[in-house]
Amino acid sequence: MSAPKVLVVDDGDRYVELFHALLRDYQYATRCELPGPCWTCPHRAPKDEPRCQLTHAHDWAETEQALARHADLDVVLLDVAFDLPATRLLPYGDDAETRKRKQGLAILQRLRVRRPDLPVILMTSATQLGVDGSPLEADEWVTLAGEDAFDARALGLLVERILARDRQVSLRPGLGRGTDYLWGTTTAMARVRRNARVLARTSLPVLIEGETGTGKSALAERVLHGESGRSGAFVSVDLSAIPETLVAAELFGSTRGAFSGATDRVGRFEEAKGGTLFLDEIGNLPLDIQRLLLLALQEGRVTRLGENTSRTLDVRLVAATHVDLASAVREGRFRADLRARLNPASTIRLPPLRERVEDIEALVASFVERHFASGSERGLLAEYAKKAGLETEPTAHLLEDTEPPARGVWFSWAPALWERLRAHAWPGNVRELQLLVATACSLSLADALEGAEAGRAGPLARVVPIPARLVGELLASSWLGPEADVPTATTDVTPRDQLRDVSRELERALFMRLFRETRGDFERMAARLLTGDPTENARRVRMRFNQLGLRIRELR
Amino acid sequence: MTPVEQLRLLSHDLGKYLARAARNFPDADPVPEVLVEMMMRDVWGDEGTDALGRFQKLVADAPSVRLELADVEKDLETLVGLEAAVRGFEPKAVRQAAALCVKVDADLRRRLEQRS
Repeated sequence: MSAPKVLVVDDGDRYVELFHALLRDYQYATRCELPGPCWTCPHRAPKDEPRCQLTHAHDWAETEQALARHADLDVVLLDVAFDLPATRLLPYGDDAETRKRKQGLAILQRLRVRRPDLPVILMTSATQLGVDGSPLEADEWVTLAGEDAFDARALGLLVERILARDRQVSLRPGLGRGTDYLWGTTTAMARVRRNARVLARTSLPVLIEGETGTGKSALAERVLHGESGRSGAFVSVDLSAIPETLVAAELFGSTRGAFSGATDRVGRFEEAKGGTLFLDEIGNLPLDIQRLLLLALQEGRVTRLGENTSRTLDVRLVAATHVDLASAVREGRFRADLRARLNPASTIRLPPLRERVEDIEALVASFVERHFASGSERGLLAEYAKKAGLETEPTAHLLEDTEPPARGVWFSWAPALWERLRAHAWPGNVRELQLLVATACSLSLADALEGAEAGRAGPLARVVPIPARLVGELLASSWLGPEADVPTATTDVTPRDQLRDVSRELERALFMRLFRETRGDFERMAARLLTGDPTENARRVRMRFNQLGLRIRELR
Repeated sequence: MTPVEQLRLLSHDLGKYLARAARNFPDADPVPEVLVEMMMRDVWGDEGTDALGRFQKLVADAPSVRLELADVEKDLETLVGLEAAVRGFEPKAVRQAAALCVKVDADLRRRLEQRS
């Protein structure tokens, strides 16, 4: 086994000098063409002035170079404070001092997107960082400060511990190192990551709750199944897309003649043998099918419709829903015993995008790269690169505030666009953002190509600007535009509905509309509904708002 | 700058870096030459400013902190006075210098903890 490879990212050279002196069992990811370790390099005697700058990465641009050069990296040692000119720093925080003092966190965010599998040792402490410690919840962060600062032995032990953990994970069958799931950097997502990775290594059922488009399916497939080590397939069933009468046959299978039009077919439970069965939108499951599912889970066996023989289950169950199952149980729409079988104690709640807007920039960067990585989009990018005379593999990237490196095509977003994206409600969540990015990039690329061909624009450049106007139009014209932000209540009446339920629905719809029209101002809502003391009325309106089960956070 | 901020700065910008190589010295002789050379740079600097000079610059506007850290300043005077012997790789002087580097770092951190 070759020696583990370490990348040091530090604005100074004190750490790297120490590592090269004392931790010589490792390879170091340098930016140098010469073979062999730095400590044997004839060009880098200790007293050389100025010292060699190729030993490590001093900023994000150099980190990118090192990442491109060393795909076999094992661990990154990352400093936090970077005393560099602003042109070499990534944006972070509201002022220049914060940007310098916490530059390592900005680099970490980029690393998480570019190489989410890579363990990072952060060379600082929460105290020194001056934050509430929340970013340190991510489990592969380790701090090194106080008496341990510059202690090569302590650092070596840390690196060994992390590499041992990583090796243990890598050796498990079916377990890739990179699951390609975009975690982001918020506290809520750090918690999701930790819980999901722990649960992935168990056989416990997992319940995922989250709004539409938050990434429930991807979490189930890439992490809970991808990191489980199970050899069977990942089988996904969207229960909301299957007609009620066919759900049982879909899940359990059927034999010819079991019902009108039935054929011999294997159910999804059997398809997932030895793997993971993902039941999406389980909150939509009809009550009679809930009973069958409960029986299957209780007995650990399934029986195809029309057959008497049952088959043993060897399936890890992951269920997801956008509704609150506890409420559904209270309202009699979901069986309490089935919910208990789904292991509600292990519920993973994926936050909506509007609660993790800090991640938007990193998500956009990743979506740009993924969108052009394959298929017809890659073809379009290749055509652009060829016509622009770029001697390059057709890769796409998001342009930050630094000059683009010499490879690939870069998309630039006007700074004002980030504010617009952060202010949007994103009812379609991450999926909505992904579609918007894909559409904006493809249209901008096609526009640039057409413009050049028609002689309307100059020569094609390496950087393709995304027009703010285009993004504005996409945000406004989408079905997910501001007018559609608030869910509408159904006012249809069926024979089973009771009058009080219909009345409550109508009242909820009215409150939601008023909430939207007054931008959540309860006094103004009260003025439209009641006469008398405005303060007292606002209190009453707010109380009724809560009684109707409405939540401010969900409507904003 | 408050005394606590002053101490934090001294601990981060002086103590931590001063102890960098010294903290890693092996218990038994000989100390690798590369580490001794590193300690020389930590103490006497590349640009002619030694640890004592850096300390005095950092406390120039904080006489009360300087007074509080009189023992640290004395240790630094002793440390920089060992220059000729350390540059001559005299084992005893090298060990003494390393011990002083670690002591100054620990003292600064202890004072900071007491004040915080």
